Amino acid sequence: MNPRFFHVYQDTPAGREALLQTVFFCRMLGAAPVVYIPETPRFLMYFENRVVQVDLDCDPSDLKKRARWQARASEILAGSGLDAHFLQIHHRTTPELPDVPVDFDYMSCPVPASARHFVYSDLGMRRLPAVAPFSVLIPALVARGWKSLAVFYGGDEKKEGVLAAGLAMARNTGLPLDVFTRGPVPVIRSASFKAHVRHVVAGNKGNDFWMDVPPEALMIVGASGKGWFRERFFSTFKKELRSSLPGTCVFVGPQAQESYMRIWERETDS
Amino acid sequence: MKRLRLQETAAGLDLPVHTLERWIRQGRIPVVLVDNFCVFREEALARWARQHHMPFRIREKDAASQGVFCSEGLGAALQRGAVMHLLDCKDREDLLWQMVRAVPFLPPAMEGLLLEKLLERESMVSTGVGRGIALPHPRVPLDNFPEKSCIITAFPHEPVAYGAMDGQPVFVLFLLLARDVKAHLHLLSRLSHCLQDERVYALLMEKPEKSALLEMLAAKEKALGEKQVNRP
Amino acid sequence: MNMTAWMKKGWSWLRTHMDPRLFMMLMAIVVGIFGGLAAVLLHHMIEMVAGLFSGYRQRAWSFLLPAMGAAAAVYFMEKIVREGGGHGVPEVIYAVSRHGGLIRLRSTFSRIFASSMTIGSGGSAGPEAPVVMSGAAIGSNIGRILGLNERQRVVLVGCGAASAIGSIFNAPVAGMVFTMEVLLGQWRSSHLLPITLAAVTGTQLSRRLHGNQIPFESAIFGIQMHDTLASAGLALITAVVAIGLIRGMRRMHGLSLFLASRCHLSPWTRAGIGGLFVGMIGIFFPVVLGEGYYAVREMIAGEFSSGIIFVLVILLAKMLATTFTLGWGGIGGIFAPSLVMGAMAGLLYHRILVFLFPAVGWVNEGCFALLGMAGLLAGVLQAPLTAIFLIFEITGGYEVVLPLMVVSAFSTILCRYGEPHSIYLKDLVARDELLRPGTDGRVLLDLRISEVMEKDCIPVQRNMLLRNFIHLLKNSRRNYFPVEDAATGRFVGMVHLDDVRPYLLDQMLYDTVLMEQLMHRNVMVVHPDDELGDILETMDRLGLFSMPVVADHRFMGMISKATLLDHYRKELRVQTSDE
Repeated sequence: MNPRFFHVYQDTPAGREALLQTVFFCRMLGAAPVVYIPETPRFLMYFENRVVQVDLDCDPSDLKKRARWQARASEILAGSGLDAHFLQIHHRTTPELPDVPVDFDYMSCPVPASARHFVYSDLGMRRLPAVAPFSVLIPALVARGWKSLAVFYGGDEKKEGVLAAGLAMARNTGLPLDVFTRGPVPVIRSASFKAHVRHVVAGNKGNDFWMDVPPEALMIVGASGKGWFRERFFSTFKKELRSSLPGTCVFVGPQAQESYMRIWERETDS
Repeated sequence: MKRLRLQETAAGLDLPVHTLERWIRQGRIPVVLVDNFCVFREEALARWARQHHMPFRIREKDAASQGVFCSEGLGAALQRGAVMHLLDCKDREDLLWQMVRAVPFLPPAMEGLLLEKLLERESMVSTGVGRGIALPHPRVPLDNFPEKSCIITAFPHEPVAYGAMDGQPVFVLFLLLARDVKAHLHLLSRLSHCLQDERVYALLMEKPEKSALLEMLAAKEKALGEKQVNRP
Repeated sequence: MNMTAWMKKGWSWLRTHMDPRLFMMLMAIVVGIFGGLAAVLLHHMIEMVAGLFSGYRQRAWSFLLPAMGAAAAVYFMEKIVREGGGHGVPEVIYAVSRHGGLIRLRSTFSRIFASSMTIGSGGSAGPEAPVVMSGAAIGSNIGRILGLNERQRVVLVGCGAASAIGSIFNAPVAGMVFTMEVLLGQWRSSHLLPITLAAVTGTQLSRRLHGNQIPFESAIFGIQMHDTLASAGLALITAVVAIGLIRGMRRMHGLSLFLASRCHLSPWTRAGIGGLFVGMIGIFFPVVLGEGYYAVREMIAGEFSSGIIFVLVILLAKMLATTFTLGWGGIGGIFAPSLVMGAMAGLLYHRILVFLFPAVGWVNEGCFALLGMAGLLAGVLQAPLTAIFLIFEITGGYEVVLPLMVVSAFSTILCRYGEPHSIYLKDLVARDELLRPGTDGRVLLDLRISEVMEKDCIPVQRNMLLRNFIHLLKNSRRNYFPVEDAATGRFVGMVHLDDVRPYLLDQMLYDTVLMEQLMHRNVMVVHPDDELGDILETMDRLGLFSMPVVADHRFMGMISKATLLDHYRKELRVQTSDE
């Protein structure tokens, strides 16, 4: 089965930019987009061990409006030669609270990363990646294609999953990969992976490498499942990165890292 | 506490891995999952499996089942039975009688019965398959005998008139005793496959010792097994 | 860091080595404490909000208070915690039946605040459904944080709810029974024991903090046989009131939604308008405001001195106020208003009885008020046991138990004629989402297509010769063969053994017939995301025994009824066993 990309389409200029980035991502990785036209301003995603509520900022729209949204979304998708598959909701927790399935390979975060709500803001950076089995794409404000990949590798063995994600995506897209690390330089044994690595840049606290990141790069960042308090009140690498680099980001949470690690191990073994 | 891979546990319970994973997550089975390893108390899981009418058997890796001497293989069956040389015999019945007496672990009370069954089978259609080879066997396996299949090989001093299909006298006999019909068919097909080989036939003509015969047939069987494994 | 590692290690040792039942008992006590605390908090919050508003009760604009409270509550739910409305119990049942009791963390506190605003300001609603939701969410999230499995989490959800109900009513048995009867829908010893313990813990905690008060202390009644017989008649009245209440709620909800969509009202304005109506009713009948336990106490004590007509009017007024509060989106439960209305219905019945048979020595009207509470609760919740135990516990009298049982049983049955499902399940049944444990839908829900799919089918290519196919047949174990396009790998059709059988022995055809000529082109296919229930329905409708699973035009496997039965039986056994 092709990888599947879940996108929540909101009919706003920002929503259109987000969909364009999804389209580009899907074309680069050969994924099939699954588009959900929201019916209510919030929906639930039941993961294995946690339920995550996604709050959108669009208004609950009536049927006529939804048809228009759907037409616009399929127009954008068709414009780049992708089949438009729209998600049908089968189950609802309450009539106003649809359950969206979670068996996707990627998802585009439908909420801007800028914080507006005191508690529930960092959906794409913390709440989703912490539990999701898929990677979460955080679209930039303006759609722009990318010509290389940049993976930010924490440098310890536990976080090799991010590197594995970056390598797998580099192989699937055929784009060059730059590895940025703040720890030891990783060892990549598998030849089929190694071929994609272009540069390895090491940095540390004093020596930022933000300016070494190429301008047209998709950033692949690991996201840990740390708690709300810690992420809210302490500085983390993710926050530093988001405030420094404005481009498109992919956050790979612990569950997604595990599945990439499996691919990586299989590749290394053979 | 036992620690076993998820896949192995699933195989032991005869379940798809997905199902086992889900049951563990849902807490329907007394197993805890730690880093892709199942941790469980063996007797608790066994009791659970019994209560839910499910098979539970942890398969230890046994290389023997892959090799030549698997319990139902041709080599093993030959190994268990004797190879008899230069039998002096009057006729077919006498020859079979001598072979029956060489069957290992056969209670003396059953010897007569076995001979009777062999002759009954011969009277239907001769088991002389041609080219001087005969494969005598009872029509249905005996009750509770043998526990493991065995083959008795006999080379009579002189070829015996056996009433074979092609009328040739028989110079080698394989007495097949299998635990059940399925094992019998399996052995028969293996043996007949080996006997079609000219090199085996040539070896038989020389009335070889048990070790030589065993080596030859085991090699043949191994090649056959590999061919079947490689089948698409 | 070392410390956390040690704790983690110790925890995992405990998880693997401790007897699971004992472990659950321990967890139940923990959840019971938190559930009890939530109920105590809600109790204090309502008193606090009521105290805050009590200074303005005499003002001319005091009828605006319920509107303010309801609007503020809904605004809090929509904008601050972003949870949406509803009273929560159907959500708990849904989570338990479908998602192993996963409930959002925010539900642990949101409804406590929202409902205290609604009730404290005079809205006609009860604190029970919110506290059930909070207790259940507490149990669920404790289970989640500790990494328990779904079955254990469901038990903890029940523990939270039972302890909360037990704590808020000082009625542990009612909490336990409500949880088993309404929330979980099954009686198992593995569930019952932890839930009992949690109910005890929660109740004990609230007794420690509030003192052991029985909410509606009742006197000795001296019930005779004719009273018990007469209670059957009371069931008729309570059933009618229950049906009226359920339907009224639904109509009101529909009306409010219609008006809201017409006039583009936000949810909090909607609730505010509902609250305004409640406030206006409250001008004439102040007794309808709030949870109304004070009135119940009066009625049980027999101090409610008004005539038949007034009781009827006040009953209708309370019903109207409740539908305006809850039907227009206010946050709160139906439990307390049902109790009040039940007491009124009992009173009404007693007045009618005395009017019709003045010569008979009827028991005190307080007793009928009490029976009416049970009757209405049993009817509205479709839970006779909960009604019996709750009334029995909150009045502290064993004497009434016989008529209590009669009323509850009859009321439940009679109500079922008008409204076959309780107010909690109605919405779920209407959406076809009610899955009780051990039912067909529940078993099928868990089986994924990836689990029941047969993957050992051998695909053939569309331009394969019959000769090659027959060669391939020897090694196959299945009767179905998917046909794929050699170049693209796309699934193009299916060949069944029956299609080939007539030509099997015809050597002439071996090199002349292609698989493409034998295959079926328009086969019904299944997508891996489809639900098994729907697939089986399709199979039944079309008389099929197996269907191919196709995703992205690629063949994945076969679904067949025979294999499905195998998995279904295993699943059923595992799901319904009490281990």
